[in-house]
Amino acid sequence: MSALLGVEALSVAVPARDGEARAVEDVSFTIAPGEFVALVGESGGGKSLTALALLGLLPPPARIAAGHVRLEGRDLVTLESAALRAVRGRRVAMTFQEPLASLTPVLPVGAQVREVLEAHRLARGAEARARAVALLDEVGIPDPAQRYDAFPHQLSGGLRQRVLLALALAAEPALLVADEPTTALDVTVQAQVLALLQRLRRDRGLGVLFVTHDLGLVAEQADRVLVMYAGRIVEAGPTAALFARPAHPYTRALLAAVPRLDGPPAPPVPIPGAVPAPGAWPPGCRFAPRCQAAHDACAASPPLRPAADGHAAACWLVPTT
Amino acid sequence: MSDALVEAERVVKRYGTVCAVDDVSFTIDAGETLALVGESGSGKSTLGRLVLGLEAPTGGRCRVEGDDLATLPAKALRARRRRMQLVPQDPAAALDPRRTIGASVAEGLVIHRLAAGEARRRRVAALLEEVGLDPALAERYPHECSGGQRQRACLARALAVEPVFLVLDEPVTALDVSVQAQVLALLADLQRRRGLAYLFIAHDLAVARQLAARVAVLLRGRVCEEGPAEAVLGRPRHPYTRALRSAVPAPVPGAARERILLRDEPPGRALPAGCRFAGRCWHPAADGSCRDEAPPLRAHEGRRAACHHLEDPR
Repeated sequence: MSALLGVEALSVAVPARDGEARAVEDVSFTIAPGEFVALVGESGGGKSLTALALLGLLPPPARIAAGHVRLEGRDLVTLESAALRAVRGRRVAMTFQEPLASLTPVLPVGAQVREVLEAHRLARGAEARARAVALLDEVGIPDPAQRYDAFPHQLSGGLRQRVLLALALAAEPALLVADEPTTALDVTVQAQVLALLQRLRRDRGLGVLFVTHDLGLVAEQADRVLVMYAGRIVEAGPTAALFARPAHPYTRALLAAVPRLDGPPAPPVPIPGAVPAPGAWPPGCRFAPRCQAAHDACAASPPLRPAADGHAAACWLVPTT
Repeated sequence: MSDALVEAERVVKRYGTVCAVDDVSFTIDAGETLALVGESGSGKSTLGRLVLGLEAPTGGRCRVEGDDLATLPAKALRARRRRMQLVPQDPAAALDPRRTIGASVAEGLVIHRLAAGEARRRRVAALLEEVGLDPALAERYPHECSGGQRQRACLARALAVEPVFLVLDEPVTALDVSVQAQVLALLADLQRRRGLAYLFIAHDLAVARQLAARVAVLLRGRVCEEGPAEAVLGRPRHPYTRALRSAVPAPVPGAARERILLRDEPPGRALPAGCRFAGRCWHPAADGSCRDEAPPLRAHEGRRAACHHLEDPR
């Protein structure tokens, strides 16, 4: 299967105390059409910067320092800004955690969807309106013709998140980058949004990069999982294998931190400490200072190497295949 | 009247024509945790404010240590407020951005004149240490702290006045899973050491299970199921609780479990006269009686639940 998205050795530089630091370093992965890939890790690990870099949306002075982002064969890193604008929205779109910050408060939500259609010259006038209503319907907004005229503040958090999805999907992108789309939502609404994403990838062949801090959330959703820590991918693999035999101590720690409803009562296990800031990353394995299994070899940086079950892990303790 | 530390007795709260809390009763003993779970708008936070006496109920009574908060004289109420504190959901909004963490934590000590000068400084340092923060953080401002540090600071502020009862309003919802686990462990530890009672407000059942021995599920202002956590969360019987449980993602690929996808509440429709869940109920037995007749809470399989069709096992 040819890749929809191919990220190669992507590095993102951000300002640090002494010049610049690589907040994202040497990150590579692919997403196939219709594939659901989860990018998981704690806040401050570089997930959101990676997502923003894919769309050329890094807030300056953060910048792509190295690497390629190939979408349908075209390298977005080298694209002129006008050409990039044409790709953004049209071929790749992004939704953010806080819908209120992404929607303008002064326009009805339907008009905002219609604006996207008109900006990309996909429809005009009455046809644009009809398509906007159809999109609101597709993302599961009840009474879409009436809700078309609603302002963002008149909608619940779950409906707003769905409006964001309608905006992102308006120009029929091939890839959706969703940054913590369900974190602020009730579990019932979260379940609806996740079901919607699954339907969209089935019906439209939409590729999804789903960014989240909650590894437990993606067990039933993702085809593949990328675990990110301190700017690097530390484990990657098919979801079933990664959950059955998490190889990297960080992946195991993330999983142990998930509060469980199933099984006997066992409190979630916290990960001691926090992700260090870019520029303050320790030499060698960056997780070593928080790792219970750390030993002498961890003073050297472990590469992402193939492990069992089609995994890859960046840990000296994981036997390679 | 019971000898519970906190007692809500048939509490009703109306805002104009909107009934936010409708005939809710519960008790919390010293050192005990009751979890209040439900979706946004179910009345959880309003109930939290009612039991703290921050709002007055339209009907019913909220008692703390035996006294009805609505009838306590102002001075006695102020003194009683020291015994109970609120820890809010969004620590970023709850801390004054222009004051240092230390000044915010000291606020209660100042208001209730509990400590001054060097004694106050020492007290703040001890409180920060108790919640797992470096006392040096007292000099920092909220924006210099992580979400987890801010939530710990909010806890330190609440503990400063030596309360016996905390209302924890979604205390870990805004936090990363890894930090969530840290704060949950801290809450359990503080409860053990200080004998605190908690009203733990949460929409996430898996989080509620970590702290609570008892759970009450709130559905549009009414309790629809309540009882021991293992019964209510482990084997829920009310169709609404079953739907809530099924919405919690299992961190196991391909887990075999009940999956119920709830519809949204139809917009603009008035509350049904009967069961508050009637408009969204997925249960095959749901019928006209659900819409017309409010089911009472009744004992069933080791908990109490309000549904006409509890005996139907589907």
